[in-house]
Amino acid sequence: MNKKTTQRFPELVFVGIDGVLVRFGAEVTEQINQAALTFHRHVSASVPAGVLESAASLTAVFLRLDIEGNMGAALQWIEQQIASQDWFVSQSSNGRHWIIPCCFDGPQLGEAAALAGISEQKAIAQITAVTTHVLTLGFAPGQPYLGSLEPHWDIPRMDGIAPNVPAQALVVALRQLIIFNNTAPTGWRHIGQTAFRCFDKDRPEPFALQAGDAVRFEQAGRAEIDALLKAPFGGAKFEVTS
Amino acid sequence: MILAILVEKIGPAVTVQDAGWEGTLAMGLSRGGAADTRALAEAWALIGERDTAVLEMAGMGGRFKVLAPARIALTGAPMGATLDNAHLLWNGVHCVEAGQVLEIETARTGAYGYLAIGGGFVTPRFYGSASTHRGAGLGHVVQVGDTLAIGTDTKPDRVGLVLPSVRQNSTPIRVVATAHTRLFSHDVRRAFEETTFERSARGNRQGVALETGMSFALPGGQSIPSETVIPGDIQVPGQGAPFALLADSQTTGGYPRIAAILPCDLPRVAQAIAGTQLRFKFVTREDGIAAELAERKVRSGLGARCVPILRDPMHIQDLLSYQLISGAISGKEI
Repeated sequence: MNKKTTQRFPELVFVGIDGVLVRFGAEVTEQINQAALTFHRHVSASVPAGVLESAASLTAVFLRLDIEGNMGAALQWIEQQIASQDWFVSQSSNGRHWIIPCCFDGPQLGEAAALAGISEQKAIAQITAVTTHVLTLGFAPGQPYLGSLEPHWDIPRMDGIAPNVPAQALVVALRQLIIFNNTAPTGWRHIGQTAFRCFDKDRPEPFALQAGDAVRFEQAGRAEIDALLKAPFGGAKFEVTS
Repeated sequence: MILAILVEKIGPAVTVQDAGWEGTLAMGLSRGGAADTRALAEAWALIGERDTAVLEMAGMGGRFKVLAPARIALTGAPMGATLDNAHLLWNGVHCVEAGQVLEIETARTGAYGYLAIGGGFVTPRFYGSASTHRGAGLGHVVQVGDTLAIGTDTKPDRVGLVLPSVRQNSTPIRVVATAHTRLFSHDVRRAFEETTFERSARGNRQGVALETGMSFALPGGQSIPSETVIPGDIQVPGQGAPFALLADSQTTGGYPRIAAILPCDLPRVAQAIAGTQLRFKFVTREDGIAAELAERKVRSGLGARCVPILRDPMHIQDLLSYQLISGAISGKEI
């Protein structure tokens, strides 16, 4: 972290009449994301009456205040929490570890690999070797932003929005991976297919992932993925290490 | 719980809604719920119950055969409504007998009409809400052949009332600063206030595109990391045409946001049909909070504003306080 970053962040801005965003940095890095997740865990554990909810995103934490309560006191509380410790000191993750089967036959695998400057084969090898973390859940219910891939994976979104990717598709952009829960249009490149439902309203645990979870992908064949579609977590293995 | 309504004909986007979710942002589920929260409050006021599930009818209603005695209320975008071919007053609560047929046609103006029923519609709930969020696969989209269940009606005698319109619609839609407002130059913000936007044909419960010849794009705006977004935020994608987010918005987004519409003014944006002209005006956060608190007070007092449909004007002492002309059935109040 450079000096400028230290001075400006954490930064507090208002979102609408009742939202407060605490930003920990201007770009997505492991350290900034860790700071946001740690701060989110901290405030979620002890929210006072005037704070209605909090949510972490990649680089920031959003808090919604009660406009019928004492907003001044709530803001003061947030400022005290920000000042209470150095959020940029690295903390251990939550110890939840997922291994998710994925078939790398997405129509844009070649394009994505080319943008990353490597072969398709190497792209698959790298994505299945790296342990990513859930940087945040968002956009759609339970949907993870997974990161971060090596810097050469900092490939842009497509210029236009692609036609729908299928449900449980694996897409890539900006050193991050997303597993789509439902079929949806996206500007990210579609590289693979999982059977992993991040969100299933009929499952005892509707939201599978939590921010901070470790996720690794394991290469599988198309027939294997098709067969796993009915498995509770699409054949994903899960363990808690600490 | 009784099976009370048989759906014989239905519009393409009739969904079960209530006030939506609270506290689910961290999991990626936005507030959801009725697109027009004021119309939902009006429906609850007429029925005399709170927090029940209603039908939200986008553009078009349907034909419903009523299988058991019930009370219904109609609010939001006015639609032609008949009960056994007899005209029904919009913004009213009515008694319905078993065997009668309720027909609700297309919206005359506005986008979303609401049908509430005594006891509320009973459909599966997720985390406490019966709301339908299509992107998340939650709730219930009403289909032909459905038999809808209703709960126990707690106010069976509350019928024959109308709620005179108390909406103010002439002023610009009020916005406050949001996540990236201060990154936009003073001139761009002023231009945003001076521009008359047109609600584009592109829009749904997630959000609506605002058309204008001018670009409001933020230089360097594509490098902003995805952050939490809220219903009411107006985001400006790369092409520069603003997009106002509504109830079913995504929970995170990377486009810069120029302003946030006050929750109390958001129903007017939701109800704007393609071609509707919209203007925005910045107010301070303090004024925005005051306006929202005032709206909450109005909403909590709506029940007391309901008046009998048939009433001898000789007996109304405060006749002038009722907006009789612009009231229940003009179809212009959205």
